[in-house]
Amino acid sequence: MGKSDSLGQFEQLVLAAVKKIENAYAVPIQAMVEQVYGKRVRFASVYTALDRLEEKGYVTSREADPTPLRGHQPKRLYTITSGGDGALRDSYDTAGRFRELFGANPWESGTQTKKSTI
Amino acid sequence: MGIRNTNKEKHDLTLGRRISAAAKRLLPADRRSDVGGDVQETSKASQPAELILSVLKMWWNKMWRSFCPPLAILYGSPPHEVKKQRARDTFKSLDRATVLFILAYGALTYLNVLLLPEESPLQFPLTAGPLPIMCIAIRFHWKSWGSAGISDSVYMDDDEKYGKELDHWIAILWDGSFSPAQAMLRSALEAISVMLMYLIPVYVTVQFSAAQRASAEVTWSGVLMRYAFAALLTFLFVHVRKTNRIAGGIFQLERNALKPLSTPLNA
Repeated sequence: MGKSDSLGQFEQLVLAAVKKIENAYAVPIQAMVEQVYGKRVRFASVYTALDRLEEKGYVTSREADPTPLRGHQPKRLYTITSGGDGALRDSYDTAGRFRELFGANPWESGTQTKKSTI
Repeated sequence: MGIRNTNKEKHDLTLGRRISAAAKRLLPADRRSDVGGDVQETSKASQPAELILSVLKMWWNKMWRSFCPPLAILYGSPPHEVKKQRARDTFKSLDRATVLFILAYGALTYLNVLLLPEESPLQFPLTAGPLPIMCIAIRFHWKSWGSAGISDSVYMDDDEKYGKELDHWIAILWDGSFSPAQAMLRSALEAISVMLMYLIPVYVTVQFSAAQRASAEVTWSGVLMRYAFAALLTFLFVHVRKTNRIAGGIFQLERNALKPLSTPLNA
């Protein structure tokens, strides 16, 4: 798809969580994104990201059978598609090249340089 | 004190539960299964504040999808047949939207020219000029007039027909090529056609402010109405253009997911 359909940072995290979690649904996805992101993440943002990813064809969803654990309410489970996997891989590769460009941790060395000059 | 606290907690609990129940009822029907976790998870998703935000976001997304039809094609992971129907309906709406937009642009051009005095030398160029320029600008991202469908053939199954339709739609919406010269021409035509919507209202406003009324029939409310109409059309032009691009991308995705037309049926 076009340039406008590249993954945003938050979408990357949500898509990575969908790929990583088996039988992914909103609650564990939010927990994983919050853990990786290191900031509070609203469920509303997760639902919006999942909607967008589904609209782009990067994830598919299905309703699981209702279970007594959830008061006999079905869950919506998400699965990554081949298109989504490709987009995530592209993002991963770009992040790798970015890392190569700057080295392991450019900010750490920058701080050291600053300290040494002082 | 202890008793008072307990009552307050009970009250909060009841209020929270009431808000949560009301918010759950307001969730769009197709997203109810998204909210909340298993009982043992004590999920944050069921808290009143989270639920209210979720309701607002979900309805906003739903509204946006109805305003941008291609986004609804893959939404909800529908079965293949539903997806095909949605794609066909989307193309029809885009085709209709393009024609209606051109008609509305023509109507605005006519309304704008009414602001000029009859003897003005600008009358003819500003009546005949804008519409062809806009048509050429639209032609850059809508490469056909009329939604020429694919004729039914007894030798073609529905998937094969759908594949051909997708090819046809992609060719109309998104040919994937990029030419710097064409991009410059396209940008120039788009800028000119948008500017022409505002040219006469701005001219009349300047005359008004210099206390020179162009025509006796011109009123402030008429000029303001034309500004509003032009602003609406500018927004719609940008939106239709973006929607066409999104649709082209999604049709391409669908085309890639289909088997190639030359694949034997028993493959």
